[in-house]
Amino acid sequence: MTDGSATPREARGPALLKVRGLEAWYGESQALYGVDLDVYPGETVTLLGRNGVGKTTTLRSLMGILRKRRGEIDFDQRSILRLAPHRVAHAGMGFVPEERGIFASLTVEENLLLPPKVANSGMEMSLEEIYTLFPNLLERRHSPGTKLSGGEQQMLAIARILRTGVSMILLDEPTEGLAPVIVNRIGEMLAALKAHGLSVLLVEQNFRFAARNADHFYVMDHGVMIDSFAVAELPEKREALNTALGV
Amino acid sequence: MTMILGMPLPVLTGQLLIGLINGSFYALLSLGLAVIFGLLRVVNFAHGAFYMLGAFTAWMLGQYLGIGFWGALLLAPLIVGLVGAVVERTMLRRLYDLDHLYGLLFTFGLALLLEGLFQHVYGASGKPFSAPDAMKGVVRTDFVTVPIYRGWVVIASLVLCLGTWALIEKTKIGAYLRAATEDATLVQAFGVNVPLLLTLTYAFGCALAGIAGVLAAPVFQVSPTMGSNLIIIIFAVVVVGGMGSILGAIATGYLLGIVEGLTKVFYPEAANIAIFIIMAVVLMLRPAGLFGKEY
Repeated sequence: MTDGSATPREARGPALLKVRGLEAWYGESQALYGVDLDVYPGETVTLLGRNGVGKTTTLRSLMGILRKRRGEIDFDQRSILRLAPHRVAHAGMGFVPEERGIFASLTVEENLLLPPKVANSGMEMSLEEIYTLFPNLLERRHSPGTKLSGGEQQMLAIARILRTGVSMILLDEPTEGLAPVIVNRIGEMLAALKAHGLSVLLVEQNFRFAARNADHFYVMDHGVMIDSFAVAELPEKREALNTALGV
Repeated sequence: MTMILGMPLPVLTGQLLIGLINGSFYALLSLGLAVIFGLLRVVNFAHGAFYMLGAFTAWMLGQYLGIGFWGALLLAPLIVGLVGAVVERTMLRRLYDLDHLYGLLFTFGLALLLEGLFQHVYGASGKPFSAPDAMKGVVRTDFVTVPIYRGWVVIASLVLCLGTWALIEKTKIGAYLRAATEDATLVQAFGVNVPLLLTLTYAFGCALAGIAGVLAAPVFQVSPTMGSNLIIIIFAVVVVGGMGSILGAIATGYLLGIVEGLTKVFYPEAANIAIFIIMAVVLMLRPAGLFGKEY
Protein backbone atom coordinates (compact mmCIF):
# COMPACT_ATOMS: atom_id res chain seq x y z
CA MET A 1 0.00 0.00 0.00
CA THR A 2 2.76 2.41 0.93
CA ASP A 3 6.43 2.41 0.01
CA GLY A 4 7.25 2.06 3.69
CA SER A 5 5.76 -1.40 3.86
CA ALA A 6 8.11 -2.66 1.14
CA THR A 7 11.33 -1.55 2.79
CA PRO A 8 12.56 -3.35 5.90
CA ARG A 9 11.71 -1.53 9.13
CA GLU A 10 15.35 -1.08 10.05
CA ALA A 11 15.88 1.07 6.95
CA ARG A 12 13.90 3.81 8.73
CA GLY A 13 16.76 4.30 11.18
CA PRO A 14 17.03 3.35 14.84
CA ALA A 15 13.75 2.49 16.59
CA LEU A 16 11.96 5.50 18.04
CA LEU A 17 10.34 3.32 20.66
CA LYS A 18 12.00 0.16 21.87
CA VAL A 19 10.30 -1.98 24.50
CA ARG A 20 11.89 -5.11 25.95
CA GLY A 21 10.54 -7.49 28.56
CA LEU A 22 7.99 -5.02 29.87
CA GLU A 23 6.03 -6.34 32.84
CA ALA A 24 3.32 -4.36 34.58
CA TRP A 25 0.99 -4.82 37.54
CA TYR A 26 -2.36 -3.47 38.68
CA GLY A 27 -1.80 -3.65 42.41
CA GLU A 28 -0.92 -7.30 43.04
CA SER A 29 -2.19 -8.71 39.77
CA GLN A 30 0.22 -8.86 36.87
CA ALA A 31 -1.13 -7.63 33.53
CA LEU A 32 1.93 -7.64 31.24
CA TYR A 33 4.36 -10.57 31.18
CA GLY A 34 7.29 -9.31 29.11
CA VAL A 35 6.15 -7.23 26.15
CA ASP A 36 8.63 -6.70 23.28
CA LEU A 37 7.76 -4.00 20.79
CA ASP A 38 9.44 -1.61 18.34
CA VAL A 39 8.13 1.44 16.56
CA TYR A 40 10.36 2.96 13.89
CA PRO A 41 10.29 6.62 12.89
CA GLY A 42 7.31 7.48 10.72
CA GLU A 43 5.77 4.04 11.13
CA THR A 44 2.19 3.21 12.04
CA VAL A 45 2.15 0.11 14.23
CA THR A 46 -1.04 -1.63 15.27
CA LEU A 47 -1.51 -3.74 18.37
CA LEU A 48 -4.11 -6.42 17.74
CA GLY A 49 -5.67 -8.71 20.28
CA ARG A 50 -8.86 -9.66 22.03
CA ASN A 51 -10.39 -7.64 24.83
CA GLY A 52 -8.44 -7.76 28.06
CA VAL A 53 -5.14 -9.12 26.73
CA GLY A 54 -3.22 -6.00 27.80
CA LYS A 55 -3.31 -3.61 24.82
CA THR A 56 -4.56 -0.57 26.73
CA THR A 57 -2.37 -1.57 29.67
CA THR A 58 0.63 -1.50 27.33
CA LEU A 59 -0.16 2.08 26.28
CA ARG A 60 -0.75 3.17 29.88
CA SER A 61 2.54 1.55 30.93
CA LEU A 62 4.46 3.29 28.15
CA MET A 63 2.96 6.64 29.19
CA GLY A 64 3.93 6.03 32.83
CA ILE A 65 0.31 6.23 34.01
CA LEU A 66 0.65 2.69 35.30
CA ARG A 67 3.59 3.00 37.68
CA LYS A 68 4.29 -0.58 38.76
CA ARG A 69 6.46 -1.79 35.90
CA ARG A 70 9.69 -3.61 35.11
CA GLY A 71 11.67 -3.96 31.91
CA GLU A 72 13.04 -1.55 29.31
CA ILE A 73 11.27 1.34 27.62
CA ASP A 74 13.57 3.43 25.43
CA PHE A 75 12.11 6.39 23.61
CA ASP A 76 14.34 8.35 21.26
CA GLN A 77 17.17 6.15 22.61
CA ARG A 78 16.65 7.29 26.17
CA SER A 79 15.06 5.29 28.98
CA ILE A 80 11.68 6.70 30.02
CA LEU A 81 10.77 3.94 32.47
CA ARG A 82 11.39 6.07 35.56
CA LEU A 83 9.79 9.26 34.23
CA ALA A 84 6.49 10.65 35.55
CA PRO A 85 3.76 10.88 32.88
CA HIS A 86 4.23 14.61 32.31
CA ARG A 87 7.93 14.05 31.68
CA VAL A 88 7.14 11.25 29.21
CA ALA A 89 4.91 13.73 27.38
CA HIS A 90 7.75 16.24 27.30
CA ALA A 91 9.99 13.57 25.79
CA GLY A 92 7.67 13.78 22.76
CA MET A 93 5.01 11.14 23.38
CA GLY A 94 1.36 12.07 22.77
CA PHE A 95 -1.58 10.17 24.25
CA VAL A 96 -5.11 9.79 22.90
CA PRO A 97 -6.95 7.66 25.47
CA GLU A 98 -9.74 5.18 25.09
CA GLU A 99 -13.11 7.01 25.38
CA ARG A 100 -11.26 10.07 23.95
CA GLY A 101 -10.91 12.01 27.21
CA ILE A 102 -12.74 15.15 26.11
CA PHE A 103 -13.36 17.47 29.07
CA ALA A 104 -16.98 18.49 29.68
CA SER A 105 -16.12 21.61 31.67
CA LEU A 106 -13.93 22.96 28.86
CA THR A 107 -15.07 24.42 25.55
CA VAL A 108 -13.97 22.80 22.29
CA GLU A 109 -11.25 25.42 21.90
CA GLU A 110 -10.09 25.07 25.50
CA ASN A 111 -9.90 21.30 24.95
CA LEU A 112 -7.87 21.93 21.82
CA LEU A 113 -5.49 24.30 23.57
CA LEU A 114 -5.18 22.26 26.78
CA PRO A 115 -2.15 20.05 26.05
CA PRO A 116 0.93 22.24 26.37
CA LYS A 117 3.51 22.35 23.60
CA VAL A 118 5.96 19.69 24.73
CA ALA A 119 8.48 19.29 21.95
CA ASN A 120 9.76 20.67 18.67
CA SER A 121 9.48 17.75 16.30
CA GLY A 122 8.68 20.18 13.49
CA MET A 123 5.38 18.34 12.98
CA GLU A 124 3.22 20.52 15.18
CA MET A 125 0.18 22.17 13.61
CA SER A 126 -1.05 25.65 14.42
CA LEU A 127 -4.59 26.26 15.62
CA GLU A 128 -5.41 27.75 12.18
CA GLU A 129 -4.15 24.64 10.37
CA ILE A 130 -6.22 22.44 12.66
CA TYR A 131 -9.35 24.52 12.09
CA THR A 132 -8.74 24.38 8.33
CA LEU A 133 -8.51 20.62 8.58
CA PHE A 134 -11.57 20.35 10.86
CA PRO A 135 -14.03 23.12 10.05
CA ASN A 136 -16.62 21.58 12.43
CA LEU A 137 -14.35 22.28 15.38
CA LEU A 138 -14.07 25.94 14.37
CA GLU A 139 -17.83 26.22 14.10
CA ARG A 140 -18.40 24.66 17.53
CA ARG A 141 -15.35 26.10 19.28
CA HIS A 142 -17.34 27.77 22.07
CA SER A 143 -19.56 24.76 22.93
CA PRO A 144 -18.63 22.37 25.73
CA GLY A 145 -16.32 19.65 24.42
CA THR A 146 -18.69 16.81 25.21
CA LYS A 147 -21.54 18.38 23.22
CA LEU A 148 -19.76 17.26 20.03
CA SER A 149 -20.73 14.03 18.30
CA GLY A 150 -18.63 10.93 18.99
CA GLY A 151 -16.77 11.34 15.69
CA GLU A 152 -16.10 15.03 16.27
CA GLN A 153 -14.85 14.24 19.78
CA GLN A 154 -12.41 11.71 18.34
CA MET A 155 -11.17 14.28 15.82
CA LEU A 156 -10.76 16.76 18.65
CA ALA A 157 -8.88 14.20 20.76
CA ILE A 158 -6.39 13.61 17.95
CA ALA A 159 -6.24 17.23 16.79
CA ARG A 160 -5.27 18.54 20.22
CA ILE A 161 -2.21 16.26 20.24
CA LEU A 162 -1.15 17.54 16.81
CA ARG A 163 -0.52 20.99 18.30
CA THR A 164 1.99 19.75 20.84
CA GLY A 165 4.97 18.87 18.67
CA VAL A 166 5.19 15.22 19.74
CA SER A 167 7.00 12.74 17.51
CA MET A 168 4.82 9.78 18.44
CA ILE A 169 1.15 9.25 19.26
CA LEU A 170 -0.36 6.44 21.31
CA LEU A 171 -3.87 6.01 19.93
CA ASP A 172 -6.29 3.80 21.83
CA GLU A 173 -9.24 2.46 19.82
CA PRO A 174 -10.03 5.60 17.83
CA THR A 175 -12.86 3.98 15.85
CA GLU A 176 -14.78 2.45 18.75
CA GLY A 177 -18.51 3.10 18.45
CA LEU A 178 -18.23 5.29 15.35
CA ALA A 179 -20.21 5.05 12.10
CA PRO A 180 -18.34 3.71 9.02
CA VAL A 181 -18.25 7.08 7.27
CA ILE A 182 -16.62 8.63 10.37
CA VAL A 183 -14.19 5.71 10.59
CA ASN A 184 -13.07 6.56 7.06
CA ARG A 185 -12.52 10.14 8.12
CA ILE A 186 -10.33 8.97 11.04
CA GLY A 187 -8.42 6.83 8.53
CA GLU A 188 -7.75 9.92 6.40
CA MET A 189 -6.51 11.64 9.52
CA LEU A 190 -4.09 8.82 10.26
CA ALA A 191 -2.80 9.04 6.69
CA ALA A 192 -2.26 12.77 7.21
CA LEU A 193 -0.32 12.11 10.44
CA LYS A 194 1.85 9.67 8.57
CA ALA A 195 2.46 12.12 5.75
CA HIS A 196 3.63 14.50 8.46
CA GLY A 197 6.17 11.87 9.53
CA LEU A 198 4.58 11.08 12.89
CA SER A 199 4.93 7.62 14.38
CA VAL A 200 1.73 6.03 15.62
CA LEU A 201 1.14 3.14 17.98
CA LEU A 202 -2.46 2.16 17.43
CA VAL A 203 -4.61 -0.16 19.50
CA GLU A 204 -7.50 -1.33 17.40
CA GLN A 205 -10.26 -3.94 17.41
CA ASN A 206 -11.49 -2.94 13.96
CA PHE A 207 -9.25 -5.23 11.92
CA ARG A 208 -10.25 -3.84 8.51
CA PHE A 209 -9.43 -0.34 9.68
CA ALA A 210 -6.10 -1.47 11.07
CA ALA A 211 -5.24 -3.39 7.90
CA ARG A 212 -5.75 -0.26 5.80
CA ASN A 213 -3.70 2.06 7.99
CA ALA A 214 -0.79 0.19 9.55
CA ASP A 215 2.73 -0.66 8.34
CA HIS A 216 3.40 -3.26 10.96
CA PHE A 217 1.36 -5.44 13.29
CA TYR A 218 1.81 -7.01 16.68
CA VAL A 219 -0.61 -9.59 18.02
CA MET A 220 -1.02 -9.74 21.74
CA ASP A 221 -2.40 -12.41 24.04
CA HIS A 222 -2.31 -12.77 27.81
CA GLY A 223 0.11 -9.91 28.35
CA VAL A 224 2.74 -10.92 25.77
CA MET A 225 3.29 -10.49 22.02
CA ILE A 226 2.54 -13.72 20.17
CA ASP A 227 3.21 -12.50 16.63
CA SER A 228 4.79 -9.63 14.69
CA PHE A 229 4.60 -9.06 10.94
CA ALA A 230 4.63 -6.39 8.22
CA VAL A 231 1.52 -5.37 6.30
CA ALA A 232 2.80 -7.28 3.24
CA GLU A 233 2.53 -10.54 5.15
CA LEU A 234 -1.06 -9.88 6.07
CA PRO A 235 -2.75 -12.18 3.46
CA GLU A 236 -0.83 -15.26 4.60
CA LYS A 237 -1.54 -14.42 8.27
CA ARG A 238 -5.30 -14.10 7.84
CA GLU A 239 -6.10 -17.62 8.95
CA ALA A 240 -3.94 -17.52 12.08
CA LEU A 241 -5.27 -14.08 12.97
CA ASN A 242 -8.87 -15.17 12.76
CA THR A 243 -8.11 -17.81 15.35
CA ALA A 244 -6.06 -15.49 17.58
CA LEU A 245 -8.57 -12.66 17.49
CA GLY A 246 -11.66 -14.84 17.54
CA VAL A 247 -13.28 -13.01 14.63
CA MET B 1 -39.37 56.14 60.93
CA THR B 2 -39.86 53.82 57.96
CA MET B 3 -41.10 50.38 58.98
CA ILE B 4 -40.95 47.15 56.99
CA LEU B 5 -42.83 44.09 58.26
CA GLY B 6 -43.07 45.77 61.64
CA MET B 7 -39.33 46.45 61.84
CA PRO B 8 -37.68 49.85 61.73
CA LEU B 9 -35.74 50.10 58.45
CA PRO B 10 -32.32 50.87 60.04
CA VAL B 11 -32.61 47.73 62.18
CA LEU B 12 -33.41 45.66 59.13
CA THR B 13 -30.64 47.10 56.97
CA GLY B 14 -28.22 46.88 59.90
CA GLN B 15 -28.83 43.15 60.23
CA LEU B 16 -28.71 42.78 56.46
CA LEU B 17 -25.26 44.36 56.53
CA ILE B 18 -24.09 42.06 59.33
CA GLY B 19 -25.43 39.16 57.29
CA LEU B 20 -23.57 40.39 54.25
CA ILE B 21 -20.31 40.68 56.20
CA ASN B 22 -20.64 37.20 57.65
CA GLY B 23 -21.62 36.05 54.15
CA SER B 24 -18.40 37.57 52.80
CA PHE B 25 -16.35 35.33 55.08
CA TYR B 26 -18.56 32.31 54.37
CA ALA B 27 -18.11 32.87 50.63
CA LEU B 28 -14.31 33.30 50.77
CA LEU B 29 -13.86 30.24 52.95
CA SER B 30 -16.28 27.91 51.17
CA LEU B 31 -14.78 28.99 47.84
CA GLY B 32 -11.32 27.80 48.90
CA LEU B 33 -12.81 24.63 50.32
CA ALA B 34 -14.67 23.96 47.06
CA VAL B 35 -11.58 24.53 44.90
CA ILE B 36 -9.50 22.17 47.05
CA PHE B 37 -12.20 19.51 47.18
CA GLY B 38 -12.80 19.75 43.42
CA LEU B 39 -9.21 18.92 42.48
CA LEU B 40 -7.71 17.08 45.46
CA ARG B 41 -10.88 15.34 46.66
CA VAL B 42 -9.77 16.28 50.16
CA VAL B 43 -12.31 17.64 52.62
CA ASN B 44 -10.02 20.24 54.13
CA PHE B 45 -10.96 20.31 57.81
CA ALA B 46 -7.93 22.50 58.46
CA HIS B 47 -9.55 25.34 56.53
CA GLY B 48 -10.75 27.08 59.69
CA ALA B 49 -7.28 26.71 61.18
CA PHE B 50 -5.72 28.40 58.12
CA TYR B 51 -8.24 31.23 58.52
CA MET B 52 -7.14 31.57 62.15
CA LEU B 53 -3.51 31.35 61.04
CA GLY B 54 -4.10 34.25 58.63
CA ALA B 55 -5.53 36.41 61.39
CA PHE B 56 -2.78 35.46 63.86
CA THR B 57 -0.03 35.99 61.29
CA ALA B 58 -1.38 39.49 60.67
CA TRP B 59 -1.46 40.14 64.41
CA MET B 60 2.08 38.79 64.90
CA LEU B 61 3.42 40.81 61.95
CA GLY B 62 2.09 43.91 63.66
CA GLN B 63 3.16 42.87 67.15
CA TYR B 64 6.73 41.77 66.40
CA LEU B 65 7.65 43.54 63.17
CA GLY B 66 5.48 46.62 63.32
CA ILE B 67 3.90 45.81 59.97
CA GLY B 68 0.54 47.54 59.49
CA PHE B 69 -2.75 46.27 58.17
CA TRP B 70 -2.02 46.67 54.47
CA GLY B 71 1.37 44.99 54.68
CA ALA B 72 -0.21 42.16 56.67
CA LEU B 73 -3.03 41.82 54.16
CA LEU B 74 -0.40 41.11 51.52
CA LEU B 75 2.10 39.08 53.57
CA ALA B 76 -0.11 36.94 55.81
CA PRO B 77 -1.92 35.15 52.94
CA LEU B 78 1.45 34.45 51.28
CA ILE B 79 2.76 32.94 54.51
CA VAL B 80 -0.40 30.89 55.01
CA GLY B 81 -0.22 29.74 51.38
CA LEU B 82 3.39 28.69 51.89
CA VAL B 83 2.45 26.71 55.01
CA GLY B 84 -0.31 25.07 52.95
CA ALA B 85 2.17 24.19 50.20
CA VAL B 86 4.56 22.60 52.70
CA VAL B 87 1.72 20.64 54.32
CA GLU B 88 0.56 19.35 50.91
CA ARG B 89 4.05 18.52 49.68
CA THR B 90 5.28 16.73 52.78
CA MET B 91 2.15 15.10 54.22
CA LEU B 92 -1.20 15.42 52.46
CA ARG B 93 0.28 14.17 49.17
CA ARG B 94 0.97 10.76 50.70
CA LEU B 95 -2.74 10.22 51.35
CA TYR B 96 -4.13 10.69 47.82
CA ASP B 97 -4.02 6.99 47.01
CA LEU B 98 -5.85 6.05 50.20
CA ASP B 99 -9.52 6.38 51.14
CA HIS B 100 -10.74 10.02 51.26
CA LEU B 101 -11.38 9.51 54.94
CA TYR B 102 -7.64 9.70 55.62
CA GLY B 103 -7.39 13.18 54.12
CA LEU B 104 -10.27 14.29 56.30
CA LEU B 105 -8.73 12.76 59.43
CA PHE B 106 -5.33 14.26 58.67
CA THR B 107 -6.64 17.79 58.12
CA PHE B 108 -8.86 17.49 61.20
CA GLY B 109 -5.82 16.53 63.26
CA LEU B 110 -3.82 19.37 61.73
CA ALA B 111 -6.57 21.82 62.72
CA LEU B 112 -6.51 20.58 66.32
CA LEU B 113 -2.72 20.82 66.37
CA LEU B 114 -2.60 24.40 65.07
CA GLU B 115 -5.39 25.51 67.37
CA GLY B 116 -3.76 23.86 70.39
CA LEU B 117 -0.40 25.36 69.53
CA PHE B 118 -1.72 28.92 69.41
CA GLN B 119 -3.82 28.38 72.53
CA HIS B 120 -0.73 27.11 74.35
CA VAL B 121 1.41 30.08 73.33
CA TYR B 122 -1.08 32.95 73.29
CA GLY B 123 -3.92 31.78 75.53
CA ALA B 124 -7.57 31.43 74.67
CA SER B 125 -8.58 35.06 74.95
CA GLY B 126 -9.00 37.24 71.89
CA LYS B 127 -6.41 39.76 70.76
CA PRO B 128 -7.67 43.11 69.49
CA PHE B 129 -6.61 44.07 65.99
CA SER B 130 -7.59 47.44 64.64
CA ALA B 131 -8.67 48.43 61.18
CA PRO B 132 -6.49 50.95 59.34
CA ASP B 133 -7.10 54.50 60.57
CA ALA B 134 -8.42 55.67 57.22
CA MET B 135 -11.29 53.20 57.60
CA LYS B 136 -12.37 53.84 61.15
CA GLY B 137 -15.35 56.09 60.49
CA VAL B 138 -18.93 55.29 59.54
CA VAL B 139 -21.10 56.36 56.65
CA ARG B 140 -24.58 57.34 57.85
CA THR B 141 -27.67 57.63 55.71
CA ASP B 142 -31.36 57.56 56.58
CA PHE B 143 -31.64 53.87 55.88
CA VAL B 144 -28.40 52.41 57.09
CA THR B 145 -25.25 53.08 59.05
CA VAL B 146 -22.20 51.44 57.48
CA PRO B 147 -18.84 51.30 59.24
CA ILE B 148 -16.40 52.04 56.43
CA TYR B 149 -14.16 49.08 57.17
CA ARG B 150 -17.04 46.59 57.08
CA GLY B 151 -18.33 47.99 53.82
CA TRP B 152 -14.85 47.65 52.42
CA VAL B 153 -14.66 44.01 53.58
CA VAL B 154 -17.83 43.18 51.64
CA ILE B 155 -16.42 44.76 48.49
CA ALA B 156 -12.97 43.18 48.93
CA SER B 157 -14.54 39.76 49.38
CA LEU B 158 -16.71 40.19 46.29
CA VAL B 159 -13.68 41.21 44.23
CA LEU B 160 -11.67 38.23 45.51
CA CYS B 161 -14.50 35.78 44.83
CA LEU B 162 -15.15 37.09 41.32
CA GLY B 163 -11.41 37.24 40.65
CA THR B 164 -11.02 33.61 41.69
CA TRP B 165 -14.00 32.63 39.56
CA ALA B 166 -12.50 34.43 36.55
CA LEU B 167 -9.12 32.80 37.20
CA ILE B 168 -10.72 29.37 37.10
CA GLU B 169 -13.14 29.95 34.24
CA LYS B 170 -11.22 32.28 31.95
CA THR B 171 -7.51 31.49 32.14
CA LYS B 172 -5.20 28.76 30.95
CA ILE B 173 -4.24 27.69 34.47
CA GLY B 174 -7.95 27.58 35.27
CA ALA B 175 -8.49 25.31 32.27
CA TYR B 176 -5.79 22.98 33.64
CA LEU B 177 -7.54 23.04 36.99
CA ARG B 178 -10.99 22.28 35.55
CA ALA B 179 -9.62 19.54 33.31
CA ALA B 180 -7.59 17.98 36.13
CA THR B 181 -10.71 18.06 38.32
CA GLU B 182 -12.33 15.79 35.70
CA ASP B 183 -9.32 13.57 34.92
CA ALA B 184 -6.00 14.44 36.55
CA THR B 185 -4.20 11.41 35.06
CA LEU B 186 -4.97 12.43 31.50
CA VAL B 187 -3.97 16.05 32.09
CA GLN B 188 -0.63 14.81 33.41
CA ALA B 189 -0.22 12.53 30.40
CA PHE B 190 -0.57 15.66 28.25
CA GLY B 191 2.55 17.07 29.87
CA VAL B 192 1.10 19.21 32.66
CA ASN B 193 2.92 18.94 35.97
CA VAL B 194 -0.16 17.83 37.91
CA PRO B 195 1.65 17.21 41.24
CA LEU B 196 2.71 20.87 41.17
CA LEU B 197 -0.82 21.92 40.21
CA LEU B 198 -2.14 20.08 43.28
CA THR B 199 0.34 21.85 45.55
CA LEU B 200 -0.50 25.26 44.09
CA THR B 201 -4.23 24.62 44.36
CA TYR B 202 -4.00 23.62 48.01
CA ALA B 203 -1.75 26.61 48.74
CA PHE B 204 -4.16 28.92 46.93
CA GLY B 205 -7.18 27.63 48.84
CA CYS B 206 -5.30 28.06 52.13
CA ALA B 207 -4.16 31.55 51.13
CA LEU B 208 -7.81 32.49 50.47
CA ALA B 209 -8.64 31.33 53.98
CA GLY B 210 -5.66 33.38 55.20
CA ILE B 211 -6.95 36.53 53.47
CA ALA B 212 -10.37 35.96 55.04
CA GLY B 213 -8.62 35.69 58.41
CA VAL B 214 -6.80 39.00 57.99
CA LEU B 215 -10.00 40.70 56.84
CA ALA B 216 -11.85 39.22 59.82
CA ALA B 217 -9.25 40.25 62.40
CA PRO B 218 -10.55 43.83 62.91
CA VAL B 219 -14.22 42.71 62.74
CA PHE B 220 -13.99 39.91 65.25
CA GLN B 221 -11.05 39.32 67.54
CA VAL B 222 -7.97 37.27 66.84
CA SER B 223 -8.30 34.08 68.84
CA PRO B 224 -7.13 30.46 68.45
CA THR B 225 -10.71 29.16 68.23
CA MET B 226 -12.01 31.69 65.70
CA GLY B 227 -11.65 29.12 62.91
CA SER B 228 -13.27 26.15 64.58
CA ASN B 229 -16.30 28.30 65.45
CA LEU B 230 -16.73 29.00 61.77
CA ILE B 231 -15.75 25.78 60.02
CA ILE B 232 -18.98 23.92 60.78
CA ILE B 233 -21.02 26.70 59.19
CA ILE B 234 -18.67 26.72 56.20
CA PHE B 235 -19.22 23.01 55.67
CA ALA B 236 -22.97 23.62 55.79
CA VAL B 237 -22.52 26.33 53.14
CA VAL B 238 -20.54 23.98 50.91
CA VAL B 239 -23.12 21.22 51.29
CA VAL B 240 -26.00 23.60 50.50
CA GLY B 241 -24.13 25.06 47.50
CA GLY B 242 -23.08 21.68 46.16
CA MET B 243 -19.67 20.06 46.72
CA GLY B 244 -17.12 21.21 44.18
CA SER B 245 -19.22 23.96 42.59
CA ILE B 246 -17.30 27.27 42.53
CA LEU B 247 -20.13 29.69 41.80
CA GLY B 248 -22.38 27.66 44.10
CA ALA B 249 -19.99 28.13 47.00
CA ILE B 250 -19.76 31.89 46.44
CA ALA B 251 -23.48 32.52 45.96
CA THR B 252 -24.49 30.25 48.84
CA GLY B 253 -21.96 31.94 51.15
CA TYR B 254 -23.53 35.38 50.71
CA LEU B 255 -27.06 33.98 50.62
CA LEU B 256 -26.77 32.08 53.89
CA GLY B 257 -25.03 35.01 55.58
CA ILE B 258 -27.98 37.23 54.66
CA VAL B 259 -30.57 34.63 55.67
CA GLU B 260 -28.81 34.28 59.01
CA GLY B 261 -28.77 38.06 59.49
CA LEU B 262 -32.46 38.39 58.69
CA THR B 263 -33.36 35.51 60.98
CA LYS B 264 -31.80 37.55 63.78
CA VAL B 265 -34.35 40.29 63.08
CA PHE B 266 -37.47 38.23 62.69
CA TYR B 267 -36.85 35.21 64.90
CA PRO B 268 -33.63 35.68 66.90
CA GLU B 269 -34.01 32.36 68.70
CA ALA B 270 -33.44 30.49 65.43
CA ALA B 271 -30.51 32.58 64.15
CA ASN B 272 -27.84 30.07 65.15
CA ILE B 273 -29.55 27.11 63.55
CA ALA B 274 -31.12 28.74 60.47
CA ILE B 275 -28.26 27.62 58.24
CA PHE B 276 -28.51 24.03 59.43
CA ILE B 277 -32.27 23.92 58.91
CA ILE B 278 -31.69 25.12 55.35
CA MET B 279 -29.01 22.46 54.93
CA ALA B 280 -31.41 19.75 56.08
CA VAL B 281 -34.14 20.94 53.72
CA VAL B 282 -31.75 21.20 50.76
CA LEU B 283 -30.40 17.71 51.44
CA MET B 284 -33.94 16.35 51.42
CA LEU B 285 -35.00 18.10 48.22
CA ARG B 286 -31.73 18.34 46.26
CA PRO B 287 -29.06 16.05 47.69
CA ALA B 288 -26.41 17.34 45.25
CA GLY B 289 -26.86 20.90 46.58
CA LEU B 290 -28.38 24.01 45.01
CA PHE B 291 -25.67 24.36 42.35
CA GLY B 292 -24.21 20.84 42.32
CA LYS B 293 -24.47 18.43 39.43
CA GLU B 294 -26.78 15.47 39.96
CA TYR B 295 -24.84 12.27 39.48
